[in-house]
Amino acid sequence: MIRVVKASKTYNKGKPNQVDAVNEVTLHVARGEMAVIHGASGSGKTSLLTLIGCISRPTSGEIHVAGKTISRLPEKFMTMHRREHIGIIFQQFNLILDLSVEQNVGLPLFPLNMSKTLISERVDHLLAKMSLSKRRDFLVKQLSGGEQQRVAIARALINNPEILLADEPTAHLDTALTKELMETLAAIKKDARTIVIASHDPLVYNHPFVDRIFEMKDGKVVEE
Amino acid sequence: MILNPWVISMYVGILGMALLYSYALTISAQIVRYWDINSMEEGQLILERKSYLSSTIIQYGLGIEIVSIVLFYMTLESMAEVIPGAMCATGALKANMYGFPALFLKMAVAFVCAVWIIIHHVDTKLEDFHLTRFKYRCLFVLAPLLLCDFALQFLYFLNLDPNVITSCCGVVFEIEGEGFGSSVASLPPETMMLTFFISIPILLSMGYFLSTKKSPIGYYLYSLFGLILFVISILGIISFVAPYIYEMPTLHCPLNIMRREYHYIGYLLYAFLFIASFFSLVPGLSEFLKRKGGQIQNVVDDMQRKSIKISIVFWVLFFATSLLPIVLFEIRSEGGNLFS
Amino acid sequence: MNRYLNLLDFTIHSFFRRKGKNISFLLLFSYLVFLFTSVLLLTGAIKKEAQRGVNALPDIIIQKLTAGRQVPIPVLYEKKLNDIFGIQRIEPRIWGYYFDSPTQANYTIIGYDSHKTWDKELGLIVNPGEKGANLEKGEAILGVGVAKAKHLKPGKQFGLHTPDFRSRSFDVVALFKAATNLHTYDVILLSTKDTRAILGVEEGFATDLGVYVYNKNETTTIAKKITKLLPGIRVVVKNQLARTYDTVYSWKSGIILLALVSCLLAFAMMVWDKASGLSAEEKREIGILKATGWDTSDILIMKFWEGLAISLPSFMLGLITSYIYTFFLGAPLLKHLIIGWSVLYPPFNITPSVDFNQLLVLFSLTVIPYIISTIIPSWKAAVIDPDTVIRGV
Ligand SMILES: Nc1ncnc2c1ncn2[C@@H]1O[C@H](COP(=O)(O)OP(=O)(O)O)[C@@H](O)[C@H]1O
Ligand SMILES: [Mg+2]
Repeated sequence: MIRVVKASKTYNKGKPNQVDAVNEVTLHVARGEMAVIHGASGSGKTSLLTLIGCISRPTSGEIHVAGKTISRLPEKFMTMHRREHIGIIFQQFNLILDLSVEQNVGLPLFPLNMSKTLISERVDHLLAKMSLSKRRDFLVKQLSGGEQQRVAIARALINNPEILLADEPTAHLDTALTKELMETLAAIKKDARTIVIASHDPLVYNHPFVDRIFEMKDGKVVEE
Repeated sequence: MILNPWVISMYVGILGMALLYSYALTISAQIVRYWDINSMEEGQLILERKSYLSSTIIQYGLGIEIVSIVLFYMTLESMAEVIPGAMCATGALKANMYGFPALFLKMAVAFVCAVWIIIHHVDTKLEDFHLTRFKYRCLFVLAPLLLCDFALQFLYFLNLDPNVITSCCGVVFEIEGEGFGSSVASLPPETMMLTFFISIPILLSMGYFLSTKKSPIGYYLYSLFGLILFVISILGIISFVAPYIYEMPTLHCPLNIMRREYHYIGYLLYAFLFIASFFSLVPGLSEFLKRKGGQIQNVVDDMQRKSIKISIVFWVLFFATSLLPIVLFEIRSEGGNLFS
Repeated sequence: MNRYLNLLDFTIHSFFRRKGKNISFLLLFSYLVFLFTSVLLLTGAIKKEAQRGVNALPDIIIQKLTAGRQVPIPVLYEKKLNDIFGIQRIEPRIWGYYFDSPTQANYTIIGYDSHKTWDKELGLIVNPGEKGANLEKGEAILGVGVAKAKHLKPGKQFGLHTPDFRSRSFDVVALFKAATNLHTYDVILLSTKDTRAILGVEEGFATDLGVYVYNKNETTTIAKKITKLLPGIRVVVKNQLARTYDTVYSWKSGIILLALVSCLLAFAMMVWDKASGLSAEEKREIGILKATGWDTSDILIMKFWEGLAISLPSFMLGLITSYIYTFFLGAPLLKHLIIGWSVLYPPFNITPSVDFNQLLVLFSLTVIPYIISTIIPSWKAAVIDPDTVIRGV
């Protein structure tokens, strides 16, 4: 499902402040697996996820995601590929605070050629699944942290992705909520989705559903 | 030199666009020079993003060029009140040697923009940027055209002398007169009408054939026929559609039909004609692009079929609109013949 | 299609999320549109009004000059012109300026015979007094300005002097309608005989000869023939007058518009500045949109809608307020600016009229520059890198 071959991402190349955020990483995650990328802060987890998630392009190497080589794709096609196959839960949730829950969740579908009613149906369906139906018309800023987290998950799932990427999803959650989240992710995994989580939270990488753990350090995967 | 709101509005638009175009051209130059799709460097990414800007500019530019053609026409109409002897836009155009070239150049600019947008449209569907360098090279064709457009327009208004007597459309499109306008006006209306209306079934059957079958030669022929039909249509408007609109067998002016007295029917007519011709061009042009290889093949087929459909719709609309004044005349005159 | 609608929907929603900023911007823009529209509507209306006055004139006017000054022309000249093909009729006109010492003002005295051409039209432009609009010896029809200056109304009497200092008295029988002020404000209409007496034009002479032609297209040719037949005569063609009016007002409005264009430039720069100086919040928002699956072209479409969402309502608002200002309130201030500050200039009613052409010109003077100045900032917003935004640093 995901195959990364010697991929690197270098910021500010050739300048004094050059950073090798991801350095010749090679890894493989099969369909339906749950993988965790573990590493200290600044080790390049987020950067690696953005590469896999078609948000940024590697400076060298190859990346194959969901049957396509994306490492040299124009941005437009990266976006299209992401729309079709990938859902992302961001570290900071990255919700738009003064939009309603419904709009936040439906956001990724707006640029598609989909009617309003169809979008609305899909959103309702997901909100029910995430037990957020009652919060449908609330503004996101009126919600609690746990609820915001679930909105973020709902948004990541709205395009029915085969691959779900989550960047430090538990950073803002307490133990109880973290456990709840892992249950949710486990349930999502059961739908034959591939999940990659970047996290340094033991509650995450020690979870029984995790199939693979990659250890990252200074941009390199040092251990699998 | 004449200064009025029309002239000013034309300059405001064209000046703004000129600035943007020159920016678009500097971007194009960078792209042509440094473009390298195999590079994964940041510079290439920046170029890709910049290319969005220049294509956006050209697309807005086409819109503004079209508005500017309409504005030019209106400016001419307003000039006609000021220039002795001119009673309509045609007369104003004849007021000095820059008038007609300016108008034709404007149309050429719009045409080149449109063609460019077709190429661009194909290119954005290609994952390997196959046409990008080519399309930005093409953009340089536009530069001299735009420069001339700007210059001619400026020269035209600068050299308008309210004391020089010009001729009106009655003279330019006079049947017994000399020159191109007159020779068109004296084409026998019956023959023109016949040619005009025989083209419809030909076009429709070509369109039908191509919608069921892929044929490279067919696409080329379709576009070629579109161009021919465009010329025939313009001649037809001068030779018999306009006289029917005016209900005067001797009045052939193709510009006055846009006036309010004739319910702005000219705008409708020309809008349909230009849209139809534009979409007729797509099949042939994209067939040509296919020869550039890459993945173009798969992308273009769908486009060709769609644009043939659209062009046929607009050709039919165009023919219907040009028939309208004739039908109305026949009803009112109970089957009379305007030209006898 | 759905894509565009969804994006439009989102844009409108965003518009209201940033109400304060957007609405103040909208108001500013509509004020600019208002200024442009008012200038254009007013000059359009004045030109039309002037044109109407010109239309009432003969197609060709023939004047006699002696030592470079206009002198009465012998009516007999008429006979010489009879052979020219295409002339409908020739009419001797008696009129002139009269200095009235009590009011220290110049009036235009026009001679008029009831049975002649103006008859039908006169009824239309005159507010009949007790007697109706027939003009006989010793009677006068006055323009509103004359009546005001001399404190006259129908039924009252006033006096005028002949060149040999004899005083004659006239009854005011009617006033011209205020709607015709632009042409009749300073007019005193007398019978032809009375006019001859007051202005000192002898029988057999006229101030000038008015020539009417059948086919307006032949006016210039006929004027040329007249010049050949009567050397030393000044021939004025109506179109020249119309053109003069047109040029004068076009110039005036052109110059004011040029001044406005500099305002426009300042505005465009402001638009540019506002649009490119995205707030951190907006940047973050666009980054989120792109990270969740919006393409650069989607953001460009959104920005295009955004431009329309501001400029179209502004355009409409500016148009409507300007329409009210010009046609219902009579364009105070601006009217003086365009016509000139002359106090003598008649107050006249402006007849409402707007046409498609004017709308297009206004559109291209306001909305198009607006859109042009948003292109680059929109692009800048659209290519924001989601990578940097989603880290939230
Ligand atoms: N846009 C950027 N420009 C320069 N350096 C960056 C940028 N983004 C991230 N980095 C650097 O790349 C390294 C890896 O960061 P990141 O992938 O966010 O690590 P993690 O998610 O594991 O904390 C860090 O040193 C960070 O400072
Ligand atoms: Mg991180």
